[in-house]
Amino acid sequence: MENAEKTERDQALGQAMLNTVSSEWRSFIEPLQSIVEEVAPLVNDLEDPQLRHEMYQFLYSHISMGYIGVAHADPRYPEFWPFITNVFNTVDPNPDDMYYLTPIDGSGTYRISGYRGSVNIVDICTGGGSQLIRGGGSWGQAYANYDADDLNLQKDGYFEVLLSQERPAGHTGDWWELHPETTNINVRLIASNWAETDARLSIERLDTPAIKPRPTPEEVQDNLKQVAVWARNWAKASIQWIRGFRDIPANTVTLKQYNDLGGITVQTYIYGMFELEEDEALIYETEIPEQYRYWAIQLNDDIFRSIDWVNRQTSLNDYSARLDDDGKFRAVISARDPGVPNWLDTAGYRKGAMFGRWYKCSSTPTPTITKVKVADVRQHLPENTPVVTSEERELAIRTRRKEYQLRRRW
Amino acid sequence: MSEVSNPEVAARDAAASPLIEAEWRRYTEPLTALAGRLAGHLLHTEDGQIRHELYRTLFSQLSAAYFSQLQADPRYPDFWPMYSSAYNSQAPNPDNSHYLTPIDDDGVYRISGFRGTVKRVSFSIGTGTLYTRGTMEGGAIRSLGEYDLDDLTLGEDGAFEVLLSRERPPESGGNWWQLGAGATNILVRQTSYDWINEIDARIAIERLDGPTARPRRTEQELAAALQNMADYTEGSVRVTALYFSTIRQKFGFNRLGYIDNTEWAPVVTQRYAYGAFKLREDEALLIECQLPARCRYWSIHLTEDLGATLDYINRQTSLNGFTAHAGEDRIFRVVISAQDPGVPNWLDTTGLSTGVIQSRWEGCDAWPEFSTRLIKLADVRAEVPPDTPLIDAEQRESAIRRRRKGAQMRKRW
Repeated sequence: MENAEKTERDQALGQAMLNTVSSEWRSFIEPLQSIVEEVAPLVNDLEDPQLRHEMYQFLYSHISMGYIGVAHADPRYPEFWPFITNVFNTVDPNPDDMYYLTPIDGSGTYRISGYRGSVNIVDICTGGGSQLIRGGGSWGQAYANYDADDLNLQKDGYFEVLLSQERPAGHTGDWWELHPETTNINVRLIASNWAETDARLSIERLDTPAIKPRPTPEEVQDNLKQVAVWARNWAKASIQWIRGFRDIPANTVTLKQYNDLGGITVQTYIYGMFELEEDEALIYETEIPEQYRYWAIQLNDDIFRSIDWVNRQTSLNDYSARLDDDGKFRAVISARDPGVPNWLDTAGYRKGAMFGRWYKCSSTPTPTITKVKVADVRQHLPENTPVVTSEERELAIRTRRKEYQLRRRW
Repeated sequence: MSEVSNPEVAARDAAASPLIEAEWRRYTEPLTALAGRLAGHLLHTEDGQIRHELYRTLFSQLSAAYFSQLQADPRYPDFWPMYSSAYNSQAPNPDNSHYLTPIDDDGVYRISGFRGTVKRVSFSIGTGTLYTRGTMEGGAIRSLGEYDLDDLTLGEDGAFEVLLSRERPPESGGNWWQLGAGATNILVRQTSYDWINEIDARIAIERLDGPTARPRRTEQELAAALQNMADYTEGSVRVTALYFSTIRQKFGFNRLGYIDNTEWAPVVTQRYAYGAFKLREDEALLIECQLPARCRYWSIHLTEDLGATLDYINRQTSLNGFTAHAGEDRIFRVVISAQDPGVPNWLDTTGLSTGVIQSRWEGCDAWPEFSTRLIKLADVRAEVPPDTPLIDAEQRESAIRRRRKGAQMRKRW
């Protein structure tokens, strides 16, 4: 191996060329080396080496994501890429969602086609700003949350819809309006029951040549330099978002809309911070709206990653949660397993967020939160709350892990 | 977690400390040498576009390294999308979706899912450290066993489950595959002919021994992974550069021949032909071969010199047994060129003057021999049978639009 390498390198690379290569490459790597400077001051408890190394992991996740988001994605040749996941874990991925993102150009004509699948909701959100396309820091706004169920679905759930500023002359099929300042389409496949089938989607731009040219050196340069900007701005955005939850006391929650930060316009969000010692628990209690399309609650760590929902029970929704006889939903948030069905596992994080969703609900109740000792949780729950054994818990986690992997994550 | 008296103050102090900058520098500094260490493998270093394609490839593998080093875990396996149009290194076959997970050879695993309708779903149990660490210290990726999903007992809807372990568990009468000693990874290949209409398998993997809930990663685990990011990135690019260099040494340019891929965890029932192309803008390479009477899968595609497959979503850089055109004489004729020669079987170099050709043949009753001829682009029509269809710009556009749609309909990331 060493010899073959040496032969080719000796042939090909003189010192002058090596200098050119090194300096071009440094212009992409050096900006990555400084992203920590603006991010670290926002992160709490960095004297803890585990949290510090989770921050480094978090930074690399954004570098990784930035490559796909800016160096691979292209509004002229759109492709839905797997946006936030358990791997690209930032700004609170909803454990029930598969997210697909593509940059687009508001003046273009696009066709989305695919198969609807059976998940609760296929939400197709058109938005503006530079954050979702270049990590550019401006969020713009969500212009529309289109619903695949409003389309004319054919046999097998096949659909096709055109998107453009004006309905193309003579087009009688499905059409959705594009605001001229649209920069991106963010798709959410929302499944309460993870065993449902996800939609398969493709997007094409119709008003550009079919053949994509090779990227020029200048385009590659711009994109690779932007990876550091993406990484820094997304890491900061995630942490700053959760810092906003400090406007109410820890261990309380309130309601909010996030139309300005790429949130779903037909969804009300629930947020609040938890702060717990190892022997403590929060009882999260809420009425359930009479009618709802979807609702959920999950936990985040202190930099707004969703706590590992694939390998731990850190989220519940209208399908996986158990309701009490009085129709209320009560969950227990704690580090230790309280042995009740609706446990939300903090995974040992002492600080983090509770984040919930009411999607197209007839009402939007505000949950109440009560801090108790984890040993005492049963005193605060209905008597007939089932006991979950460790075997049953193991099975529940194994089922989560399998069903999540079977979804169309990437 | 350590006890903290005033967390907010402590956080500011820690952030201000040089410790964080020093640690982050330690985890990023090895990246700075990558391009210099690999540029010698380029055949056209003086071409700025080619150099920037190397930088893009390195970033693609740095992005993949995050999956490989900072997410993947043999104790909590999860198939990650190792090669794709985005993670484009080691010459991904455009007809495949590839998924990888690290495993421990003494673990007990269960793979389950739904078969789908793609042509082939194969699982390769491999050795070595290349796929898990990006390095060759543990040798190449020999296959310890290659398993075909269609050999399992499938349930309704194509549902399946198979156990994997060193020894067959005593009470298990169901599907079982052996994990050979030294196994470090499982690579899944889903191979499709008709990208729009075939449905990919859905696959999950679980480890059955060991604790169920995944613990948070320790500082030490994260530190080790962070330190390996540059090695993975470099190794996954260098391995193909070296491999392609041996192809050029063996065949020279514009010739195609079979290569024994045993050391590289191939699909064991498949034969691999390779060649390097070298073309001026007004030239074309005409490859001809007699198609076998029976063949389960065959394909041909083009890559860059360093192993990135040429854009197969937005250009016609690959053909397979479904998309290729064959004449009455069952001879497959394909034209490799930068300009569209107007024949159905065009492989588009995207303007590159050099690159690599790969062709795969599986389940065939004969192995085709390839003839190659370097001709003038203007003479292509004279060199192919008169009944070869003429493809105009509009037909080409629509073929490319079909590719793009099909590629996206697949489960591929």
